[in-house]
Amino acid sequence: MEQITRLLFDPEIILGTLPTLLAEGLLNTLYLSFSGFGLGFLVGLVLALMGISKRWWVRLPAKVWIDLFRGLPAILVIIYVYFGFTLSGARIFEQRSSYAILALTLIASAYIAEILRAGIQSIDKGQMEAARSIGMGYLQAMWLVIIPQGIRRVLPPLTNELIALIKDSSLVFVIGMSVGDRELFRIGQQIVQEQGNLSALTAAGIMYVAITVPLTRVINWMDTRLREGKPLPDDELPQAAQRPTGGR
Amino acid sequence: MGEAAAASATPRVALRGLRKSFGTTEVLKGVDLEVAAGEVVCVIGASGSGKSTLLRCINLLEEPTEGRVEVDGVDLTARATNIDAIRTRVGMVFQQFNLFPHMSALRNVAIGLRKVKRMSRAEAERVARERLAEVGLAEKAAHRPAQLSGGQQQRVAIARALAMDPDVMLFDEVTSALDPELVKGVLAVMTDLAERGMTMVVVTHEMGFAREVADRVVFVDDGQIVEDRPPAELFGDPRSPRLRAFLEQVL
Repeated sequence: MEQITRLLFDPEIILGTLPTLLAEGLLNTLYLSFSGFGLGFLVGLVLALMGISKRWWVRLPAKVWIDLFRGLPAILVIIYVYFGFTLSGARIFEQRSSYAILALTLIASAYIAEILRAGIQSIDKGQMEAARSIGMGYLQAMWLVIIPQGIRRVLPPLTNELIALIKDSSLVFVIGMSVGDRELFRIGQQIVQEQGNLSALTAAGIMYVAITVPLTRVINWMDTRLREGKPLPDDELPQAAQRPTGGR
Repeated sequence: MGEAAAASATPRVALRGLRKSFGTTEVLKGVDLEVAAGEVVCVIGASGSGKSTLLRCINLLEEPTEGRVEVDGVDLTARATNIDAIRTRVGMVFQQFNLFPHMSALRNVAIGLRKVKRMSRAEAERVARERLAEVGLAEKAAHRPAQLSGGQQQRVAIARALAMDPDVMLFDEVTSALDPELVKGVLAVMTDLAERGMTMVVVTHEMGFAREVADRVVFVDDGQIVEDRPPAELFGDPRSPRLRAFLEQVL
């Protein structure tokens, strides 16, 4: 038992690993996952809009994309993207981290598309009719009226997806980032190999929890604020918004 | 185009041989209706008679299965017609208000001016404040829809439609979702609008309003116009048994 504790939770190794994790890994993990989420959000929005089109040939490519990148294990997407491009000679990026972001974008876009689609479809159709009746075009009405309301309704599942992506960013260790570009997991993994003790990965694990827990709290706070709006005297929200769930 | 005589004879709104089916159910079975500029036409009938569908065809929220919809002589069902541009000239007010809940009353009214008519923010908000004042809600500009009563929300919705400076206003049972004590204020705004010469097509259950304000009352039953006469005649001397039966139930 003591041996297991030392192998996984050696305080000296954990404390010794933290400075590198903080100085190098934390920023790279945040960089990879937030870039992937941001770009994935944009792609996901386009996919969501394609997914609710009346035309089957607009829906079909979105459906295939979503099924593919949601169905494949994240690690396989990362391997395909990095080794697919580099081995075939199509070195579209200089940096390895760019391939990692591309892969994370593909993964995130598939999940986010489904979350956003649920949010958009939960908005009463009278909203679209009202927007169209004052002369807005379909996409304009979507952008100004439907999407802002839809996103607010799906903030919790979007948060789940961001957290899932932060953790999935650990899988880019398969690309083999070099010193300076390593994210949390990769740093932990390399120290484990040097020392023959798993505690460095525990240190990385502590970092993931330290990112995701405060993040959840902040978004929940924003969510509450957005739903309640600015407090005015007779403030009552009539329809308790139905909130589609999603994420993983 | 451009012949004044022809233009004045052209009805503001014309429905010609209008048919609409949802799946296998035919809701409108050949409707012909003309509304002249400045005229107020009330459409009455039992629920499910097709009167709301008729109204929603006028700005093509429902696409007719057959027939034509003309606004100032322009056929809306023609492929070449820019429906977004026509809709800025046809205001619509809904039973459920359909205000944008994430925007203040002022932004609800201003957004069409800014984003469709491309006005500057300052200009759009100036016009929006004027329209809000006209419906008696100048002091509610900063409120969100959820912070307003149903009657106030509906008046904001009217202001939103009026802000686009439409040639026709469509009202789809706009008082049906309101508590009784809030109906009056909304009807007063509509009466005022009618007196200022707005062309209006009003689907309503408010027989008092139809009698007082309408130039013509149209009775719709089973997807067809059964009677189309001035209110005094239609209410005083209903010809068809179907209208008589309907009036007995609502009056």
